[in-house]
Amino acid sequence: MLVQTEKSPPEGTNNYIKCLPTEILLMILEIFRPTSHRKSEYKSVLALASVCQVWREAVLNTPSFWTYIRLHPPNPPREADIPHEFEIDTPPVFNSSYPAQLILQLERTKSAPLEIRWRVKGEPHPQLRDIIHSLAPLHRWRSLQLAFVQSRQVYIECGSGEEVYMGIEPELPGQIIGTFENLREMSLVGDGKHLSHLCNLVETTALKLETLLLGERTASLTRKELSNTCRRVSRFLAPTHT
Amino acid sequence: MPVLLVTSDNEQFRVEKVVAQRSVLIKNMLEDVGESDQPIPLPNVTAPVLKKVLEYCDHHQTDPLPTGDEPSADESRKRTTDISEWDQKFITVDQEMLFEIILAANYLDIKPLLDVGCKTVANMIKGKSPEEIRKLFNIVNDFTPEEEAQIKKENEWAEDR
Repeated sequence: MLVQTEKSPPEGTNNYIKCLPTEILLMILEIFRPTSHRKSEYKSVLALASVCQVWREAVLNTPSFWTYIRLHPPNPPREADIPHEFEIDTPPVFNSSYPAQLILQLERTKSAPLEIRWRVKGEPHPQLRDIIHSLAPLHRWRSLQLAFVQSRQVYIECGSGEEVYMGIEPELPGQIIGTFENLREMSLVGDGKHLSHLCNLVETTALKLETLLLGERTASLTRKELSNTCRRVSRFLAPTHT
Repeated sequence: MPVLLVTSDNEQFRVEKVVAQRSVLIKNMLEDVGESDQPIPLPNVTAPVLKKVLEYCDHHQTDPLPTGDEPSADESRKRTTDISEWDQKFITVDQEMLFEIILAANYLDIKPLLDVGCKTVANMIKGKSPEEIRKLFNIVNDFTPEEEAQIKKENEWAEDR
């Protein structure tokens, strides 16, 4: 059943844009293709996909609209929103729709290169490893922005006091397997001591890496582990005082 | 040497070759036929639209021609919606003419004009809600209730991102 009656344009007006062939419509819509992980850009794409069937089909079937992927769940609620009984064993995954959103977006990317942003806090979502392996294998990652946040910082950020220091240690989903053969850009921020596995993968498989940015603490801990990579990349940025 | 162009409504336009050749279609046709007085038929373009297109070609006759394969590094710049002042004034037309110009630029293969047209439409869309976009272009909302529900759900998810 179609929903049309109340939403039809007034009589006597014309839908000129409908006369455009799909490839020109797509040229117009592609101007809104995201170039970052910003929420506003993602929402613009959703708005275009919510206009009519033709536009939706054009947007949903164009992988490049969907390739800016956040592997982490949405931000936790602000301090004021955190219930008093917030406990240390509460995993920092606040939105039950997060895996479904991620799967839907990744399915729309088909086989396009992915721009991954991943803020690792505490224990990753139990489904994340499977999602990565099945829908976002490492060889499709074109860029990676990895921010590695210790749970201590997370809980301080959440304002829940000292007792939560013993909370879950952050870790990458155990033993992510694959190769970074198409990785061109990578930035690492956070404490490097948990990054050995990742660094090893980058050293041995990210042979096309062009840009490497290291955050303050990551720089001191990973320079040695990423020594070959540092020499290989054409753009290397790290704090000089570490 | 001037070139004679004939529109779908049988109007003739005599224009300088350098102006007409902003259209890759016409340029290729001229190269194929060589030196000739033969009029060039343009069955997909009406006289008012061709007049407008030729105004653009005349103004931009000394611009460097696009190479065809733009380097990918320039892609993001190309996708910005900046339009020069003259082009903006030129393209300030009603919707019917705007989409006619886009179609003509596509048919005549005038890439910079096609870009200006697409950017203009993108600027009209920018920042608008789906309902506002529908209203602007008189687009019918043809989603089924199931699709509406899926769209609503996705928009709610996006709020939580």
